[in-house]
Amino acid sequence: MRIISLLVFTAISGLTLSLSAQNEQAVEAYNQGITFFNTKNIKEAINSFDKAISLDSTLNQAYFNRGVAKAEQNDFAGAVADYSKFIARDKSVSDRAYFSRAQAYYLMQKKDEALADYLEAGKRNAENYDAHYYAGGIYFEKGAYSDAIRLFTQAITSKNDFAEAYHDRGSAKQKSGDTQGAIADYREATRLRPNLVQAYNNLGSLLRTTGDLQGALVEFGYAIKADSKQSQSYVKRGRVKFDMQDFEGALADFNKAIELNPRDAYAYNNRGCLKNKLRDFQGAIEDFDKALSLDPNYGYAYMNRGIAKENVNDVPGACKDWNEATLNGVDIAKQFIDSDCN
Amino acid sequence: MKKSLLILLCSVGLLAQAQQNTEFDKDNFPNDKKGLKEALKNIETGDNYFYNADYTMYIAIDYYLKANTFNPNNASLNFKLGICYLNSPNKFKSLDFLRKAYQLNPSIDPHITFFLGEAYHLNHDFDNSIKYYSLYKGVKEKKPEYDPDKRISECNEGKRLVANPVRVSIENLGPVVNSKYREYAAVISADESVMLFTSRRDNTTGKLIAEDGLYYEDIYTSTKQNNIWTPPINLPAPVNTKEHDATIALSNDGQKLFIYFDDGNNKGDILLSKLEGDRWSKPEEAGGKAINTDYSEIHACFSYDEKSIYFVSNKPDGSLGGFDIWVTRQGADGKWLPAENLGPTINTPYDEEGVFMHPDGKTMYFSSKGHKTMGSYDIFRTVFENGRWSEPENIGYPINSADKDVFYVVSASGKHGYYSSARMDAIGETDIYMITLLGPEKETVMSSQDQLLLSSTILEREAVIEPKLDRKFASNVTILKGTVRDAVSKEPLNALIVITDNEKNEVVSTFQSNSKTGKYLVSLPSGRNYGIAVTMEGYLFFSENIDLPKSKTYQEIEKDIDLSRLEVGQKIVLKNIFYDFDKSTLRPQSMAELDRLTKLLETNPTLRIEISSHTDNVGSAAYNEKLSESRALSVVNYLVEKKGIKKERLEYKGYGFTQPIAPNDTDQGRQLNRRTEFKILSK
Repeated sequence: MRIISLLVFTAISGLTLSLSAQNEQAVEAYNQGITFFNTKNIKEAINSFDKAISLDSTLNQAYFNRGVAKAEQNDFAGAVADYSKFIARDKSVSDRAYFSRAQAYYLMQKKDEALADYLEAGKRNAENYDAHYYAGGIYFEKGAYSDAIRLFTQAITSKNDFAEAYHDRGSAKQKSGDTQGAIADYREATRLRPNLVQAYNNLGSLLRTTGDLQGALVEFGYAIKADSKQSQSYVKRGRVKFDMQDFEGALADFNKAIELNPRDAYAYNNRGCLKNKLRDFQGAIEDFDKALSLDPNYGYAYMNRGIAKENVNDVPGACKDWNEATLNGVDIAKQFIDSDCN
Repeated sequence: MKKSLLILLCSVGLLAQAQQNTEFDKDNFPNDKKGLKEALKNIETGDNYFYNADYTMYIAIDYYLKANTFNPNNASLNFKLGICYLNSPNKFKSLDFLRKAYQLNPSIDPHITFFLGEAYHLNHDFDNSIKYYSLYKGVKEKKPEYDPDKRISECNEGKRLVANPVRVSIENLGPVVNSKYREYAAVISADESVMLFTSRRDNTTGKLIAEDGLYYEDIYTSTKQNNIWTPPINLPAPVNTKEHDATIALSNDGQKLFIYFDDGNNKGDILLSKLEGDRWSKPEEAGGKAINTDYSEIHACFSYDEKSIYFVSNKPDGSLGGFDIWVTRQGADGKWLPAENLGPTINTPYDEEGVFMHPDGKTMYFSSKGHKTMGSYDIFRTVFENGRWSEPENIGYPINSADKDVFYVVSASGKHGYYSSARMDAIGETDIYMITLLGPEKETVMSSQDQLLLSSTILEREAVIEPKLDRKFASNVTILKGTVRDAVSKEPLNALIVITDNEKNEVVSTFQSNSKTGKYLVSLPSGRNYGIAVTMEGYLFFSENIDLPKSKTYQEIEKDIDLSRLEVGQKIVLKNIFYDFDKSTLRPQSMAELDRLTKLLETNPTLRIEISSHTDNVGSAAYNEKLSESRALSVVNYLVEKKGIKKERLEYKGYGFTQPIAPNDTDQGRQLNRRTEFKILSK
């Protein structure tokens, strides 16, 4: 949503002074539409743009603005239709139209179409760092990490202090196995934006997987300092403390995460794991119960609850949970069933 | 200074008073003569049992406890109560009394520090146990059988084992199986469908009380139906008698039972009873002269193929000390060969007991006082591989305890063990428990949410590496079981089941299905290609092939086998005839099946048969027809040339892929279609 709002203001303000229409009534309706839009009266804005188009079908900007307004109402299909008319009527339109349509496509989950439009926008304006950036994001989602890295790099080239692009490139590097490259990018992102919580969290998680638990602990500490209200930073730091055998510290972090977000299934799951480790099997089962009530498709919580149940000799209950875990994509639970349930 | 000394002396005085030994004397109980008289009477009655024999000591407990309620501060009575408990199933209860006796009078008995060490030991308080065993080392006139050094080493082993417990769930089999009396020595069939055990409950045959004050032992049986054990049934005569009748071991198929027999003259022998239909036969001496001697034979167990009997004896010739484990093997003539001692890897100078051979054919469980035990007998596990037994491994705490742990049997799956114990939750003095071996503890998996992309709001669950699996308890055996029936009437048949190792062309084992139920069960350890033939006079034999790679883990296959009578038109698939790839040459693995076919033709000299061969649909029709015909001819030629069967009795035919018995669109289907059959043309 952040992205769309940004676009709306850019798009609308750019067209307010356009007075090249043949029909003055159409222009008046058109300008009225912009006024409505700026006062958040989106419905009337769309009506005004409709009127302008009905009075002068050659008023291309009205299609564009109506598309923006429809997008604001989450009518992305309507927005795409209007942007497409705008583009079809003027082949020389700027990158902005493609960019706007890409955003709408993306929100319609039409990611291939969105990618094509972002790439076209980037081609039409090499300085459109957002176009490169979002195209990189879609490549990332498709698992094409080297293309993602290429596009994020283009975005950074256009905008040297683009912290988000550094962050996302770091993630793409992490996915493609370039751990050191990822660490460097995450660090640069936090240098550029010291409050970028996700960068600290992802850096911490990455360091944990490399075995640098102390380093991870420091990064999660930064994340918490940057935003002390985010439960996931506590969830992640609790894991590291667990790995470091600091069970008391881990428990405090999981408790804090639950206090901040009582709907954080991960916090309950991880606290359940900790309680299981501390032989408080009943307490563990209760936490896994809670995690599953918050996320009924949480395969690992099923698997873990099965383990805790096995620890209290409830083998039938354990087997039932491992079966659910299998149905939710946890392959090892199938092996538990094979070895312990038949 | 004087004041302090006075306070100290007063404190010592109070302490001494609190711990003072109080004799059962009228001076000490001037106001309760009646109570004193009753207490003394109880002590007198208790003494009759206490001084009679070790096995009657526990009877004294009730009398002594009454006297102890009257006067809890008598060192002698507390000592005797402690000793009584040490000789009862509830040995751990001895501690409070021995501790009290020692506090009241450390000199009450020269060996009290040993007994106190033992009581702590049985309560798994190893540090205190070591302390008192160490004190006993300083006693001048020690009994040779009280070996404090060995006990101290057991305590150290106990500390190690308790610190590293094995994960098990121990489940009382419940009031349907267990009674308020003693149950023990449970034995099970490999698939855990049948259990027999020994009990001293009040409905034993004759309902007579033995000299130890308990009912005579009887054997009971229960079956598992819908996962629930049925109420146990007392085995009728001739198995149970008015004397002691006790279970020792059950064959994997639940059809043969080893029984311990001691009439007071033989010092203990092993008998064997067989399930004939629904009746157990009169127990007869097991293993001929290879097992029973003038010494004590106290336990025995078949190997999975019933071609060996492992047994426990204290016969001196060739012994390594005390009771040892021996084995006798069946010769080609069916006679049992002279027994061999299993040697120093298994046997120690101390006693070994309770041998159990797992259905996997290679794993042995046994109890020993000599290996690294945490006290008395512990159960050990060893595996026979590459011609030798592995170093016995203590199966761990809490299966093993500081007390006597014997008679442990394990299901074919390797997941369940059965034994008896006097645990806190026991219904009676000793109960039967099922242990579920849980294997190493499974690791839980923590996870968290990642937001790897700031360009989207997509959150993803962090990728998790799944924990490792440890399959230490996985068993490598297949249980094949079912019912043999007449194909038409579905009546159960008492058929012969012959298991052959196709690679070695040797018979692994032979079994009989039950004459009344037709049920059979065979254990097939992984690592072989088995030919299974089921034969019965007047019937076509049935053959099956099961290939079990070495890594194949536990499975149960249920297969009911319908035998067809020898009638014109009847045909069977010969599943253990193998040819070289794309050729008609018979492979050596086919010989056992061809021998069976030969025997059938010899036993029925008027029988005329057709041998036919079939292929899958890979390749041209002409090619397959030619290949199948030459394969059928190979079989006929073998029977004629090698076995002397008259040529006129045999026809051969190659059907190519014209008569499929399964779709040809899967590997499995094509495999079924590649087959050799024979059909009866005339009788």
